[in-house]
Amino acid sequence: MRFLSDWLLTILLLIPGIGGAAVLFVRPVRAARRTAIGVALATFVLSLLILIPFHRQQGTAYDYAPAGTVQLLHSVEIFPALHAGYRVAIDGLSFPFIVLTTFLCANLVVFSSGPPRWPRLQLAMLLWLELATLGVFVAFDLLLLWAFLALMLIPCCGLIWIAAGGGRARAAMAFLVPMLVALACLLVAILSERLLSTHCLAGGTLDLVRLAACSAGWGERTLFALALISFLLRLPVVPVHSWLNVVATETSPVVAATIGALVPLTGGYGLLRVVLPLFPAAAASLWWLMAGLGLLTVFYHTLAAIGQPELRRAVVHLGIAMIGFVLIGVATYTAAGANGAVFTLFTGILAHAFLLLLAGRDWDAGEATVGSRSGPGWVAGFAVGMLTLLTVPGFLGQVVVLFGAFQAAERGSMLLRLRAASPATLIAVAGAICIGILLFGLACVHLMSSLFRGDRSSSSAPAIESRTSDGPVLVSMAVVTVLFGALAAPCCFAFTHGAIGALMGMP
Amino acid sequence: MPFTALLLILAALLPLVSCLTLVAIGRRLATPLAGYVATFCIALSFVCSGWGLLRWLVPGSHLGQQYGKSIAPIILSWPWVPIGSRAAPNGLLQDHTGWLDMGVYIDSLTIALFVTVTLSAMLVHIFAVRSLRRDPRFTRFFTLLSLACFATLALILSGSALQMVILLELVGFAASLMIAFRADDESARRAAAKMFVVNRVGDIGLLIGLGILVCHVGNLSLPELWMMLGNAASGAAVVLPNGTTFPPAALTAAGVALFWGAAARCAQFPLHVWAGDVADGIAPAAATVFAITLSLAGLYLIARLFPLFTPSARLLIAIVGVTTLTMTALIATVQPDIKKSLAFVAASQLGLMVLGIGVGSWTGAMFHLIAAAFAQTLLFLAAGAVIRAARGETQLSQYGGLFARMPVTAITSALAGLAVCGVGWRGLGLSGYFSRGLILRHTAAFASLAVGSHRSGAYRAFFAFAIFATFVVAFATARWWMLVFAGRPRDRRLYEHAREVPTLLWPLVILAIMTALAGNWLGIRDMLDSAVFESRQAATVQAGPGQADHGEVAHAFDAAWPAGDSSDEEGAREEPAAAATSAALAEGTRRVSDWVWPATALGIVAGLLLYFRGDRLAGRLTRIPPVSWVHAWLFYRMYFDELYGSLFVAPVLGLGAGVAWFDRNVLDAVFNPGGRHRRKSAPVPNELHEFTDQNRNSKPANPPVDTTTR
Repeated sequence: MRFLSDWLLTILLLIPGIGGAAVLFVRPVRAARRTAIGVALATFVLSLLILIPFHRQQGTAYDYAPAGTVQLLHSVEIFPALHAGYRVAIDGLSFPFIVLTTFLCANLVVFSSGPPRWPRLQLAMLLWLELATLGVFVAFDLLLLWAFLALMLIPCCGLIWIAAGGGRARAAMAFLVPMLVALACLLVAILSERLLSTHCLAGGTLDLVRLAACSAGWGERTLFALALISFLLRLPVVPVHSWLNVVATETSPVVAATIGALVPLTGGYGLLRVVLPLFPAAAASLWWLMAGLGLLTVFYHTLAAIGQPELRRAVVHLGIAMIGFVLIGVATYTAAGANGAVFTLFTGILAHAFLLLLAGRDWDAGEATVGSRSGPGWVAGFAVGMLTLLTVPGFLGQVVVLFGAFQAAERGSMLLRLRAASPATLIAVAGAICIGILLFGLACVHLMSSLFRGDRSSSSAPAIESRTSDGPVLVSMAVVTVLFGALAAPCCFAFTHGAIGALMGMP
Repeated sequence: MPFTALLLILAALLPLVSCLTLVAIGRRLATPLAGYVATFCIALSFVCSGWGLLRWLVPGSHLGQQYGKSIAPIILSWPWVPIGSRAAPNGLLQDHTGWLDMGVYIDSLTIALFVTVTLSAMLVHIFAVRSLRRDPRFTRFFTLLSLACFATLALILSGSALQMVILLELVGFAASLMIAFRADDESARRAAAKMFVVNRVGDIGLLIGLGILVCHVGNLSLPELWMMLGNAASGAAVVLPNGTTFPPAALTAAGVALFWGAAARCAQFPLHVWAGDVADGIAPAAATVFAITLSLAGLYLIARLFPLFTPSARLLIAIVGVTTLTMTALIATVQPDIKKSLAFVAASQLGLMVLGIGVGSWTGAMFHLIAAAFAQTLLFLAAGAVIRAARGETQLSQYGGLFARMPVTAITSALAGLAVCGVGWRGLGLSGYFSRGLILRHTAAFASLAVGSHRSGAYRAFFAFAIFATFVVAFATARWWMLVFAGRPRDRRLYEHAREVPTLLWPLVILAIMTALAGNWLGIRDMLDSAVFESRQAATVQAGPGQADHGEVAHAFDAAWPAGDSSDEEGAREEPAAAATSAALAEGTRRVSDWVWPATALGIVAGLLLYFRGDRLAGRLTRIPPVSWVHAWLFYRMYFDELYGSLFVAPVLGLGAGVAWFDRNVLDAVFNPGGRHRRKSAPVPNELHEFTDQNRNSKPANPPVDTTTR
C-alpha cells in the first residue's frame, strides 16, 4: 500500500507517456488507435483509483499530510543547489482536475478518427499532451510545474501542425508566441520567487507548499503580475484570446477541443495553485484587475458571440466568456467565489469541448450554411450543450461566483478587511455579473435559435449531422457534464472545498 | 427516508427516465411508441403522486419527527454549495456548516400540486399522442415534455430557494424548446427565443435577491428562511438569530428582486410580452407552459417566498398583479388567433393569482393555481382539437357554428370558460367561482383594512380593477367561445371538414370533470389551509424549543388571510386587530356577493350579444373612432414589443455586431497578423429579432379595423 501511495502519481504520468511512444510503433493504424484508446482508458481508470489512498477529510491546513491537505507526496531532489526536484503530490484541488483531464483525453482519443497523414503521431501527441497536463496538476515544485507547462507546447504544436493543413505555420505561430511569452513571464516569476524565498527559508525553496508560507515582500506585486499574465494568456482572456480563435477555426475538431480544453484548464489551475497562495496580498490588493478583466471578458465575448457569423468562433466566444466568470470568482477572494470559479472552469471546459467537437462537424462541409442544413441529431446535440451552459451545471457555477461577489461585500470578508475594496464597488461588481449572466444567456439562445432554424428533420435534404461513431463520446460527455452539475457536491465541492479553504487560509 | 418522500421523488424522476429513454432510443421507436413510453411514465408518476396523497393523509414519523397533513412537513437536506468553512460558516442556522443545502420539502401544497401537475400532464400526453402522430418530430416533443414535467415536479419538491431557481431555469429551457420544437416554424422559434430572453431578464432579479439573502443570512433553505425572515410581513427590521439586523430596505429589495424573476415566468407586467407569442407553439405545448409547468413554477416560487415579502414588496406585487390582470384581459378581447386569445386570458388569470399573493390571499392564489391548471389546460387542448379539425386554421374569424360538428369539445370548453369567468351562485359553482371569489374577497378585505387604518383610499382601486377585469375576462371568454362554436359557419369548407376525434375527447372530458369538482368537492382548500399550518410548524421546528418558548419564533404566513368562508375564523388570530380583520373579511364577503356576480354576468351577456351573429356587429363598432384607436392599441399589445425592441434588442444586436467586427478585424490583426483564416466555419445567421419581427409577422398590411371580420 505504501508503495502504491508513493508511486501512484508517477505511474499515472508514465502510462500515457509510455503508451504514446508505443503507439508510434504499432502497425497497422487501427491497432495503434486501439492501443491509444486502451492507454487513455487505463489512465482514466487509474485516476479514479487515486480515491482509494486519498483521504478527503485529512487535515485542514495547506501542508503535507497528515496535518495538511496535500497527500501522496513523492519527492526526489534533483537540483540540490536550487532545492528543486521531482516533487509530485495531490490535494482536493488537483484531484478533480486530474480526473477531468483523463476523462476528456479518453473521450478525445476515442473521438479521434485520425488525419490522413501521420495518424499514429496524432494519437501519440494526444497521449503526451495528457502526460504533460497531468504533470502540471500533480507538480508541487514550481520548476517542475513550469517544465510540464513547457512540455505541453510540444504536443500542442505537433497537433496543430498535423491537423492544420496549409495554414499550419501561421496557426502554430499564433499559438506558440503567446505561450512562449507566458512561459517566459512565469520563469522570471519563479526564479525571482526562489531568490526572495531565501529571506524566510534557509537556502530558499521551490516547494509550492513551503513557498505559500513565505511572503515575497517588496517584489510581490511585480511577481504577481508576471504570474497572472502567464496564466491569463493560457486561460485566455481579452485581449489575448486570438490563439484560441485560430486553433478552433484552423484545426480539426479533436485538436481544437483538446487544446481548447487542456490549455485553459492549466491556466485556471495555475491561478488557484500559484497566484493566490504565493501572492495573497497582491492578489487581494489587485483584485480589481482580475475582476475587471473577468467582467470585460464576459461582456466582450458574449457580445462577440451574438454578432459572430461563424459557428466555431461563436462557440469559442461562449467558452471564453465562461472563463471570464472564473476570473471574477478568483478575484472575490471568498470560499464561494473560488469554489464557483473551479466549478465554472470545469463546466465551461466540458461544455466548450463538447460544443467544439459538434461544431467541428462542419469541417468537412467547408463553408456550408448551418442555418440551412443542420441535422436533427446535430441540433439535439447543440441543445444538450446549451442546456449544460444555461441550466445545470453552467448556470449554477455562475450563480456561485455571484454569491462570491456578494460575500466579498459582506462585513469581515478578506477584501474589506484589507481595505482593498469598498462594499459599494463589490455590489457593483455583483450587479455587473448579473448583467453578464443575462448576456451570456442571450448569446446562447441566439446561437441555438440560429441552429434550430436550419433543422431539417422533416426533409430529406443532406444535412450536417454527427457521425454514428461519435455518439458514445458525445453522449458520455453530455451525461457526465449534466451529472457533474446535478451532483456538484460529491463530484466537485467535496474535494475542492477543503483544499481551497486551506489554500486561501480559511480552514 | 419517509415512504411519502420516496413516492414523490419517484414521481418526479419518472418523467426524467422517460426523457432519457427517448434521448437514447427515441429515434428507434416507432412514432406512437415514443409517446406511449412518455405517457406510461407520467401515468406512473400520477399513480405515485396519488399514492403519496393517500400516505400523506395518514400521520407518520421519521427520525422521531411526526409528519403528515395538518401535522408537519417532511424536510430532508444535503450539502450542495460551499459558501464558508467550519470556522467561518458565513451563514445562520445551516444544517451543514459552511454549506448551502439542497433538499426536499413536502407539505400539503406539494402533494396537491403533484397530483394536479401529473394528472394534467398525463392528459396532455394522451392528447398529444393522437394529435401529433403525423409529426416527424413526434419523439422530440415527448422528450421535451418529459423534461419540462421532470423539472416542474423537482421544483415543487425543492427545499431551498437556490434549488428552485436552478430548476426554474431548467423549466424555462425545456418550455422554450417545447414551443420551438417545430424548428422550421419561424414564428414558434422566435416565440421560444423571446420567452427565454424575457425569462433571462427576470433572472437578474432572482440572482440579486438570492445574493442579498446569501449576504445577510447565508442560508437558502425554505424553513430556515421562514423562521429567520418570517417577521418581514410586519415591516419592521428583522432581528436575525445572531443578533444582527436585516434592514427592511434590503429585505424589500430582496423580495422585489425575487418577485421580478418569478414574475417573468408568470408573464407579469412589464415582462408579459412573451405571453401571446407562446400561442405560436402547438396547443399541448402552450397548455403545458401556461397551466402546468413554467407559469405554475413561477407562481409556486412566489408562494414559497411569501413570508419574506415586506408590506412594501407585497404592495408592489399587488400593483403588478392587478395591472397584468387588467391589461392582458383587455388585450385578450381583440386577439384574432384562437390560442393567442386564450394565452392572454391565461396571463390575466396569472395576474389575478399574483394580485392574490400581494393582498395576502395565499390560499386563494394557490387554489386558483390548481383550479386554473385544469381549466386552462382544457381550453388550450380544446383549441388544439379545433385547430386540428380545421386543418390548421387558427384565425377566429374563420370558425363559427362548430357546436354542431364538435359538441363535446364545445360543451367542455364552455364549462372551462365558465370556470375561468367564475360562474356560480350561493356555494354552487365551478372551481373558478370558489378560487376567484376567495381572492376577490381577500382583495376587498385588504382594501378595507388599508382604508380603515387611514391609508390612502386608492387601495379600493385593487378591488375595482379586479371587478372590471372580471367583466373583461368574462367578455373575452364569451367572445372566444361564440366566435368558434356559435353562429353560422364562416368558412363552409372548414366547417364541413371539422369532426371530433374520440381519442382527443377523453382528456377534455376528464379535465372538465376536474374543473367542475375542484372547487368544493376535492378538499383542495382544506389541503391548502393545512399547508399554511405545516409551514408554520416547519418554521417553529427550525427555531428550536428555546426560541419558541420565548416567543421569538417568526410568524411566517401570518400575513396570509385564512381560506375559510366564515369571518369568525379570524378569532384564531391572537391579535388586538382581530376585530378589524374580521370586519374587513365580512366587508369583503359582502362586496364579492354584490359585485362579482353582476360583473361576470354582464361580461358574458355582452360577449353573447355582440358576437351572437358572428363578428359583424363588433366589426362595425371597431370602425368608429376612438374605439378603433383603442382597438389598434390593444391589437398591437400596447406596443410593448416595439418599445423593447428599440430600447434593448437593437442596441444589443448592434453592439454584438460591432464587437464581433472588432474581434475579427482589429484584435486578430494585432495578435495574429497572418491574415484571414484559410477555412471558414459555417456562418450563423443573425437572430434575436424576436421582439420586433414577431409583431411584424403578425401585423396586417393595413391598419386593423376589425381583425375578426371576414
